[in-house]
Amino acid sequence: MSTEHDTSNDEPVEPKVAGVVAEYDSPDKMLAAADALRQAGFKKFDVHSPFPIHGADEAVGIRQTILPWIVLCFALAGSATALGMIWYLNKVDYPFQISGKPLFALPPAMPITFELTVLFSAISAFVSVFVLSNLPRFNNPLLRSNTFARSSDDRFVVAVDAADPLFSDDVEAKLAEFGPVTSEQVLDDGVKPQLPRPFKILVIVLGIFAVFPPTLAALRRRITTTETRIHPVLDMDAQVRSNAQQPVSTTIFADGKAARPQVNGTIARGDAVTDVALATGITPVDGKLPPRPTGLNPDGTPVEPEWVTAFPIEVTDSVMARGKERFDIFCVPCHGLGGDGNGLVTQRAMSLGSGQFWIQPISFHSAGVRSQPVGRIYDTITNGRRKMAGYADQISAEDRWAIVLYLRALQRSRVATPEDLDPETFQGLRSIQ
Amino acid sequence: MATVIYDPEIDNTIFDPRQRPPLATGASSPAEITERIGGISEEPVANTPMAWWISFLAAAAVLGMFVMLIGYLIVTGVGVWGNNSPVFWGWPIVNFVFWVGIGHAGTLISAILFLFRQDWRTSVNRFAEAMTIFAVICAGTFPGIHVGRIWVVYWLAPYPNQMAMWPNFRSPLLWDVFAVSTYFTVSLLFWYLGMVPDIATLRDRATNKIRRTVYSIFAMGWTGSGREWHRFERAYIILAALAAPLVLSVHTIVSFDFAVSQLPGWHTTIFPPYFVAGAIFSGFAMVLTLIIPARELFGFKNLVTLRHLENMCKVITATGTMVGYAYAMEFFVAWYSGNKYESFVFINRAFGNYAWAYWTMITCNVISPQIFWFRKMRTTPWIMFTVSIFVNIGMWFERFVITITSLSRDFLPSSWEYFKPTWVDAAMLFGSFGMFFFFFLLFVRFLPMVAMAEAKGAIWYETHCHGDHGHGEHAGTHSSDQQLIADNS
Repeated sequence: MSTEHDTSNDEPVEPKVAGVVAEYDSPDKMLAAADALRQAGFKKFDVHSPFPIHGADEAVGIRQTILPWIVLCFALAGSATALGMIWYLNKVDYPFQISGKPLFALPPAMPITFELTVLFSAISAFVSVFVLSNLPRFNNPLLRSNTFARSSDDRFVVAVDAADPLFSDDVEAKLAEFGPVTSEQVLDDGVKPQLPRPFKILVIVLGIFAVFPPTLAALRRRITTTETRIHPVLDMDAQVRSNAQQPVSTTIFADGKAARPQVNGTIARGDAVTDVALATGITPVDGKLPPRPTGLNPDGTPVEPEWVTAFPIEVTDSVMARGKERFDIFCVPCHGLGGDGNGLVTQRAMSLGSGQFWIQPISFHSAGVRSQPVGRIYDTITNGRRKMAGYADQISAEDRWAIVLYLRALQRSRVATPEDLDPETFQGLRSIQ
Repeated sequence: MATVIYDPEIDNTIFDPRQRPPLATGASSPAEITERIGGISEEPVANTPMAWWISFLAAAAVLGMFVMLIGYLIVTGVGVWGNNSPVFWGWPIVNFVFWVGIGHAGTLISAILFLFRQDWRTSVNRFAEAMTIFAVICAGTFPGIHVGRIWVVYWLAPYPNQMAMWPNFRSPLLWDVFAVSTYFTVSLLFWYLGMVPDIATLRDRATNKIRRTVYSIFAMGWTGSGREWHRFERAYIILAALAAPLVLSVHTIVSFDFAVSQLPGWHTTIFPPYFVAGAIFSGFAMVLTLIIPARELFGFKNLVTLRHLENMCKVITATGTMVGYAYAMEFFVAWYSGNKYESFVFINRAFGNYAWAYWTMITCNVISPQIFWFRKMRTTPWIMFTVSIFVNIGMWFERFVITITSLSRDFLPSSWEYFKPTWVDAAMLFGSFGMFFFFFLLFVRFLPMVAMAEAKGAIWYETHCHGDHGHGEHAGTHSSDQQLIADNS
């Protein structure tokens, strides 16, 4: 018998008989031999054939496998896993509405349930074939027998294991009764086949290298560092952009500017002027805003546009009330409740720096302001004047006119005479005194 | 046995109810099958046919191009494709459905024909299963790279994550992930389990150490014992019974990707059966495309006989006609529904911008397989091969027509656009064929192309028990195999 395999073990062990194999040229002879062994009471024997032989189960006495039941259990487990997963994940742990569909319902759960049932069953069927047959097994002495080798080609082999209690030296003679082509004892020299040396070295080297990444990862988890984390893929975390006070990238826009100019022929939201007087406080010429005059008057003051002198909105009590409310919100902090230029912000700023950092607002009751047309005051609120910023972004045009109206009322209040009031109100005021 | 009226060794395609045609022609004892099939993989490298080398190097080159294009795509972004508003599902999805459809014939031939005891499958099932595995790999690649940010493709899987989010299990796209991955796994197990006894044969015949080691590992110590075969047969029939509905479910779910959406032309209940018929159709065509050259090149014509090819041609004609029926029925439903959007889509398909694609599809899928009504046509390999190529082209166009025509004419006429693929689209489709043939050529070179153990069993019982039903002591256990051995009826 030849046992050609890698015997790297130097000390040969005493070979012992592992069993007997007999090779037949037809399934019928093999089955007859197996039948005889079974009837003689042998248990640890089997038939080996290149394809499944009908009748082998009865001849050898193979009981029905439990494999289908294992598969059934896994099939049920697969269904339960899928349904449980879908129900828990989409209904309990992370519920979210999609098109008003129920969070959990059977019909949409069916496809995945079916797939996982099949998946679990198939894997369990596959694994069971091998596990139930005690496979994989790579050191089977049978596989080293030349007689046995043809059982996967075209011969039909009966193999009796020496571990069978009835095993004796005359088993081979018994098998010979059924006309084998050849038969022999299978020897087990106790040497396990070794993997080729290069393969072993490769496994060891790869094993050592495989330890590095998890070790490094584990170390990094324990060490604190101020360095930024390494992102293999930045997604959109780092994008080309222009930073303030930095040279501008020309890869974004060819002109190297990050802020884009308004596209020709377009009007920004809110910039459409339909009523020039209302929007600007300047008297329109032919319904359009005239160009702003430039240059100085002979007395050194700038040339002013033709300011609107009458309110372009309807003047009512409610507009006056609205104007007071807006005035109290936007103007009072600096200009003061009475418009004298002594709001709380102004008082605080003046006390801190005595006018070094702060220019006190002009009193609304000064002659200069009192003589201004309403359009001029409106323009001041809209675009700002000197250190004051424009409020066009924060206050709508109508509200700015309402503030102008209230401001006019404030101015008037300082120079009012009893005749300005209706008698009832005047009497009421007198009674307060 | 009846008198021999014709010589089946010469022509086994003639149908004669008095005589059952043999599964294989010529000598096919177990030893000869081992020699013929196992011998192919045992040829020394120097004896590899030149045709194999040329095909393999070409396929490897195309695969290399495919891999580089994927790299280009990942680095640059999906803008390298022609996908753009309103056609966001362009060629990648067309290619995905095309490949996954091809992947269905393998398991179908294996599982459904096995359950129906059609023993003629034993000669072609391994081949078809291998085709399935590689086609599904190609199929899985396209949605994988279509997600754009491929480095987070694992988000498709339900796994606990720092975002505390879970996938939406009501989406057909997620069903698809489960269906295709299950299909791949089960097909692989089915293929591998069936191959273990054959790998054991190769292991036992191996003369050099590397072959012996490698085949030993993959044979997992298989000894072909009665107990192993007992469990093997149980598991195999269970896997077949699982795989058969799985085939139907997977392409049904693929069709849900379209049918569950609300786009005219997609939102139809005919899609699942229509897709499944199309998948079987294209899969059988691909089997023919592959097996006709392979049986010439490696010389196993006596195992994969003309009758095998003829049977597949019949399946192709049947499924091609079903697909043609579905095309007609779509038109009928569009008209019968009274929905003008639905009607528009179908009229647009046939007579609009993409009419050229639609009529290519009709010509290839519906008209070309009809020539198999003539016996001469379905028994002449080069004609079958030509038709199978037409069917492959036609089935690709079917998916193109469905995906592109519906999307390019969506609800908002202002966004209508004519889809234009880029060179990357075309090169990637071509590249996927490179990947497919790369794996396939490795398979035909190194693994048993025909299920040897099954073929040995089927032919053994056919020749040793032929015409003698119910004889002998073991008759009861194999009579079921006897009854339906490859009837042409």
